[in-house]
Amino acid sequence: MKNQQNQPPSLIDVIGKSCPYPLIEMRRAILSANDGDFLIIKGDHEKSFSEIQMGAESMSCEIIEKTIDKNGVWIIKILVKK
Amino acid sequence: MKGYYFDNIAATKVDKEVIKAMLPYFDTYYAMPSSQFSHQPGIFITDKIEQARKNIAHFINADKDEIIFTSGETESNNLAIKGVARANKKRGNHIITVKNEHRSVLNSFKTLEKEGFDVTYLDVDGEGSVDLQQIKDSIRDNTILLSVALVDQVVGTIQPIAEIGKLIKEKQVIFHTNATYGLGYLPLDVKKMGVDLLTISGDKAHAPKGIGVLYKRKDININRIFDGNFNEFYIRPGIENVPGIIGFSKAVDLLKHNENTIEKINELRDILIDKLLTIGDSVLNGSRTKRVANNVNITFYKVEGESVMLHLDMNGISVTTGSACFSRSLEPDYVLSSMGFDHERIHGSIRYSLSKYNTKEEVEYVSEKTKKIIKRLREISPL
Repeated sequence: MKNQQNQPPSLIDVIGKSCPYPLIEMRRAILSANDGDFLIIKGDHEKSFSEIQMGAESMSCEIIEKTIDKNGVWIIKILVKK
Repeated sequence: MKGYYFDNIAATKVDKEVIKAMLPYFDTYYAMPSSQFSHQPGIFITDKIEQARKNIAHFINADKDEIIFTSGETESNNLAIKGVARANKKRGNHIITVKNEHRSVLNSFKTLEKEGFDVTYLDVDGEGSVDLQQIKDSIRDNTILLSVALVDQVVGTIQPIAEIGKLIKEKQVIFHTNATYGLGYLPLDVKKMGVDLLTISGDKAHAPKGIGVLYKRKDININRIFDGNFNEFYIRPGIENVPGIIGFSKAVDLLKHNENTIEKINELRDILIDKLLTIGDSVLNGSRTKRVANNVNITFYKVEGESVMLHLDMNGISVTTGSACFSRSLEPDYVLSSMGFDHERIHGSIRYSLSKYNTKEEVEYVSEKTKKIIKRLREISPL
């Protein structure tokens, strides 16, 4: 189902969670999301920063934005495409 | 996204012919089998169950009175092990199994251990094989039960059940085998195998979940483990799973004369193994030769098994891993541990399991996708 209502992005907070949980939670969120939804994944597990992007692309999502601060906290915004 | 299901050791797709055979038993023939004394629909159902019993008995070269329908592998193993050990306790209290057995076997032995039975857990070698001499040496005068799986569920190593059967023939040891992971791939002949008890389960052979069989040789004493009514020769109470029984019988029909199917799966397995082993720093777990047709288990070093599994899933490929994060106990796979593997080898292990529904094109896709995922994971998150 297409996101028609321009709803704000859902936040998936995986701060303090290590591999593989950030990936698992993002997968669950993408499966529940509609086409056109935005998701923001926020975490601090270093390896997961790259793996989240790899996984999102595999699930046909688009990486819209990614940032990482000096404390290692990263934020990835993705557009769900179904 | 197209799905590539390579987890057939966990569960198989129910064959359309099996579903077709089962359907009338939901909405047309739904009487309780025990009602055979009350009414004609009950008689009809009882006759159908007995035909199914005879069919499955014939498939494993048993008599129909030696077939007990259960809810599946776990129940059959529990019934065989607990039921027989308790019923034969007066003869002795020593029982034997193997460290890489299915949880339902191992935990049944652990329960019996708490009840006062003396248990020997046999080692396996680096390929998951038991040592015949070790079995021979472990048998004592008070040994009453030995349980060795035909095939293990993790690396698919085939154990020499018929040789073990011959080895213990002269002893007064009751021999159980969990043949669940060999059903459909290896000949099951209880007489040639020399077993007294044999477990099989429908869900691994294109029948539905919730139906299994325990073969029990006629003269073996067994205690029931559930209390209830008189079903299944007073051994397994509870209303029979009629659609499941009919479905299992149909699935068994489809396994007869399936040599070409096994050959095809064997070929796919070998192609998949060869292709995956072209990935650097990888190793096959289990035996190359004494291996069931549908099992591929490979460790990819320098990557985490759970990451590989998740990325495969995100590409539509269903597999499983022996890595610790995916076990509820957060401990690495005990079957791989029993083979003497270190943490790294277990942590990077991936099991692909095939069925008759997989194709060569799927195997090509899965192997290529695995290569790309491993390559990228090693680049972005080297261990």
